[in-house]
Parts: sequence; structure tokens; C-alpha cells
Amino acid sequence: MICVNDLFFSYTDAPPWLLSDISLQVAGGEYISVVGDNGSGKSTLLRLLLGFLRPTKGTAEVGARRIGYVPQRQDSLGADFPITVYEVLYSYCKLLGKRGAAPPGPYADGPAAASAHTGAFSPQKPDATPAHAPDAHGSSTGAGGIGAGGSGTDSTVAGGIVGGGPPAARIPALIDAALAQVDLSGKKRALIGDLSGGQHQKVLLARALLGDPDLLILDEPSTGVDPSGQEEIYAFLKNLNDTRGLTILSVEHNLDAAIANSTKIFHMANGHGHICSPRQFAKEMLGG
Amino acid sequence: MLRYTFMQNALLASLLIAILCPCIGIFLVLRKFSLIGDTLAHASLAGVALGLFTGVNPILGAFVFTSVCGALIEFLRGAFRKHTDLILSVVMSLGVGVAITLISSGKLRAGADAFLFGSILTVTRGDLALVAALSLVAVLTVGLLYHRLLYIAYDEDAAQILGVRVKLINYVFSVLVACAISVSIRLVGVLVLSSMISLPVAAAIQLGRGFKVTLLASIAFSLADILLGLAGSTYLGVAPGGFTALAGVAVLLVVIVGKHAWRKTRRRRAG
Ligand SMILES: Nc1ncnc2c1ncn2[C@@H]1O[C@H](COP(=O)(O)OP(=O)(O)OP(=O)(O)O)[C@@H](O)[C@H]1O
Ligand SMILES: [Mg+2]
Repeated sequence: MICVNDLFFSYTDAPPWLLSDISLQVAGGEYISVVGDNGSGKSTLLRLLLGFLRPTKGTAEVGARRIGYVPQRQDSLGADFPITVYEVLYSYCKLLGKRGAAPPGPYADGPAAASAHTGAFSPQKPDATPAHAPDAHGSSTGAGGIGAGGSGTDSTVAGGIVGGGPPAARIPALIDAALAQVDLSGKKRALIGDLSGGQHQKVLLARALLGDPDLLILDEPSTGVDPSGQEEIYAFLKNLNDTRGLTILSVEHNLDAAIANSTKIFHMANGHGHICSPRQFAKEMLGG
Repeated sequence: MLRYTFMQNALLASLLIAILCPCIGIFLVLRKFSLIGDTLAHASLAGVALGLFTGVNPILGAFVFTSVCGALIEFLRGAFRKHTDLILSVVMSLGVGVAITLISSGKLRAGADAFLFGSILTVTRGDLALVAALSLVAVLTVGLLYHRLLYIAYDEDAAQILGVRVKLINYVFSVLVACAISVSIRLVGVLVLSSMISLPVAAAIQLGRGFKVTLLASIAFSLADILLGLAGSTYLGVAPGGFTALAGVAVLLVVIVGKHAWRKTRRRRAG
């Protein structure tokens, strides 16, 4: 799913390297947490994977059909932009269907990527009924409520239109379901700028899950979210990873969450990075 | 008064301008690119001068020259990411330089004053047809690219991940800005053109609503601005450009004051 090979990078394209000789292979279905100190280049690595930046040397390839991305929290994003939560999600759904051109970055199109096209908005399991309506979910609490709804995949496109988005008539229901998942049904008509930081973060997570991505790239998804909200988010992510095999790459400062939830940990320091199991990492932390 | 053809032409052109300008302006303002609008407005004078110099329709001249300048800004913005303000100075100098050189040469086939301050007398049937065609194409394009333009303005990273061709659309958008400018230039004039692009949007943003409501409100404010400007300038016998800009400022102030007054009464009621 992700294949980084001997990657060197600095913003000036010259030494000193911010990322030096990074290699990272992520198979489908893994949940990787990326940890490291402030400024160790975690967000930069994600931006390389997303194709916003080009490696100075080496390669960073992503073979995903659809990526859901939650950027690192910036209080500035959209704070003074006149747009409602609904509009943010609605236009996103509309654009899901417009993906004609190749996405940015050197995407490896493996066999998985090719066959997965038809999976987009495929007919859903039978229990996906209008029970996703906000009133049915609004009262649900905790991880069960947040995780049970799936990820807005309850859309049906006949014949698996390649890269197609949801039909317009289904979008409002999709949005309701997406917001219900993060317990924000009541904020549908709110301005993005009027949300609290944590609520904003949850909207971005709900958005990332629209369009049934096969890879989630998250940059500190729980920053600014209250403890119970954090628990919900991690249980939710873990559930997506366990039950749907969604591949997750998440930058974390919440080390407990990283150790508890991820299948592997990518530890970055001084421009280098190595992969280890959560248990090894916990030991390293205690030892250090 | 509407018996006069020139007045009918002016009125129709006003309505077209009032609809088109905020449709483009809202994206400029929200991307904090209002200055690009201003720069291109000034650069358009060179297009007008070139038109008057060579005998091409000055509106067409403005459209072509402004499109080229818009594309140039877009290109340079990619190359010199951190010096956008400098790029704008360069393009503005280029435009105004060409304009002043040509106008002061005394070789223009008609006066350029009308394009500086705006004039209702000069909107001919031919101009109106051109204005209508450009407006229609531009508004339709905005409609077609609505979600893409919105996402590029709101969250460019997300747009890119969704496969939106951000660079291409930015170029298309430059041409749309050129459309809005060249359409407005006859009536409003170069000097206060940017007021048509940013003032109605600024007023609409004050309402604190979602994007669609803000867009519709900015069209409404823009209609108010230009109709007030047209009426005022006819009544007083002054150039419509100046009066439209004043109307724009007045509407913005009324909205701001109104908003505060409304909040105050609500607070009093609550307390
Ligand atoms: N656009 C940029 N241009 C130049 N330098 C940058 C840019 N973005 C980040 N940097 C630098 O690169 C380094 C790594 O930044 P990055 O955002 O990747 O760190 P991070 O590991 O995500 O940190 P944090 O935990 O604080 O989010 C920092 O020293 C930063 O100053
Ligand atoms: Mg970071």
C-alpha cells in the first residue's frame, strides 16, 4: 500500500536532510503510528506520501485507490471562511465523483488498486438501512455508536462506476451518516469557523471517511479532542482497521494510543526512522 | 429615461456586471487574492489602450491582455512562492507602463478617459453583446467548476487529494477574472474596478453565513451598489465609476452597522 525507499528530503533539496535514508513498507490492513519529537519531519513525510512534496532522492509511492486525509490541526484552516459543515461535506462528495485525472504524486497502481475500483460505493451489507439517520444515532454513545455506522459506504452505484462518486440524491443521507458517526449531527448547519477545535477535527475525520477510502492518512487526529472524544476516535479507527481492513497511517503524540491501537510503530528521530512493534516501542520508551 | 438606448444598454450591462463580479470576486476575496483583482484591473487599462491603438474593440483588448497578465501572475506565483506581492507590483507596472506610454503618445483612435472613470454613454450595442457573451460564459464556467473552485479556496490540499487539477483550474480562473474585469471596465472604469469585485463580497461575509448564502447575498449587494451608482451618477451627471464605489462603501458600512445594532438589541433582549 505504501512503499518508501531510501528517501532523502529537505525543503532546500540539499543537505542537511530533514529526512535521511527513510524506508518504510506498509502492507494493506496495517495500522501504523508515526511518532517522533516536534520538528522530526512527521508531517513532512506525510506530505511526501500525499504527493504535495517531491523526494529529493529516493521514492515514496502510495498504491491506494482513494486516500482519506486529516491534516494536522491548524487553527487558521477555514476559521474565517464562510462555509457550513454541510457545504464542506457536500462539495467533498461532489468532488469524489470528479476524479478524472491522475492524483498528485507517483501512485503505484498495483493489482489491488485496479480491482479495488469497483469497490467504491459498492452495494452495501444488508444491515445498512436508513437507520443511519441522525436521530437514530444521535443518542448513541461511546465507541459503539461511533464505530457502528461504517464509514458512509451505504451508497449504491450500479455497475461500479470507476472512480465515480455517490449519486447526488444519496449525498444528504451520506452526510447525515458521516456526521452521526462522530456525534455531530446537530452541527450540520453550523459554520466551520464556529466549531470548537475538537469538533472541527471530528468533521475532518468524518470527511476523510466519505468515499470509502482504502487508506487513511492522519496527522495527529486527536489533538484538541477531549479525553472521551479521543477514546471514541481511537476505538473508531481501530474498529475500521479490524473489521474493514482499512489501512491507517497516523502521526501520534498520544503514545499510549499509539501503543494500544497500532499494529506497528514508525519511530522518527534525527532524520532517521525505524519500524518497531508497539511492545518494542513501549520498552524503548521505558528504557530511555 | 429608459427611452434612451444608451440608458438601456447601460442598465443591462450593469445587471450583467452585478451578477458576474461577485461570482468571481468571492473566490478572490476568500483566497486573500483581492490584490490580484486590483492588479489585473489596472493592467486591463493597457489592454484598452492597445485596443484603441490598433482599432480592436477595447473590451476585447482588455480581455485578452488581462487574461495574459492573469496567466503570467499564476505562472510566476508557482515559480516564486514567497514573493507574490512583488509579482503583483511587476505586473501592475507592466500594465500601467504600457497604458501610459500608449495613451500619452497621442496616437489612440479615441479617448481613454471613459475607461478610467467609467461612462454610461459609451456602452454601445456591440459592447453590450460582447459583455453579455463574456458574462454568460464566465457565469456558466463558475457554475460548472463551483465545487472545485470552492474546495481550492477552502482547502487546497483536500482538493488535490480528490484529484482536482488545481493548477489548470487556477489558470481557467485567471481568465474568469479577466472576463469580469473587461466586462466591467466600460461602465465602472479601471480605477475603482476592484470595488465591484471585493466590496459586495466583503459586505456579504459580514452576514456570517455559509458559502452559498454569502454568494447570493454578495450578488444582491452588488446589484444594489451598481444600481445606486448608475442612478446617482445619472442624477448628478458624474461618472458612474466613482459613485458605484461610493455606493459599495456605503452598503458595506450599513451592513456592518446594522449587524452591530442587531446584536446589541439581541443582547439587550437576552440580558
Ligand atoms: N514549508 C516548509 N518550508 C521549510 N521548512 C519547513 C516547512 N515545513 C516544515 N518545515 C521544517 O521542517 C521541519 C519538520 O517539520 P514537520 O512539520 O514535518 O515536523 P513534525 O514532525 O510534523 O512536527 P510536529 O510534531 O510539531 O507536528 C521543521 O523544522 C520545520 O521548520
Ligand atoms: Mg506535524
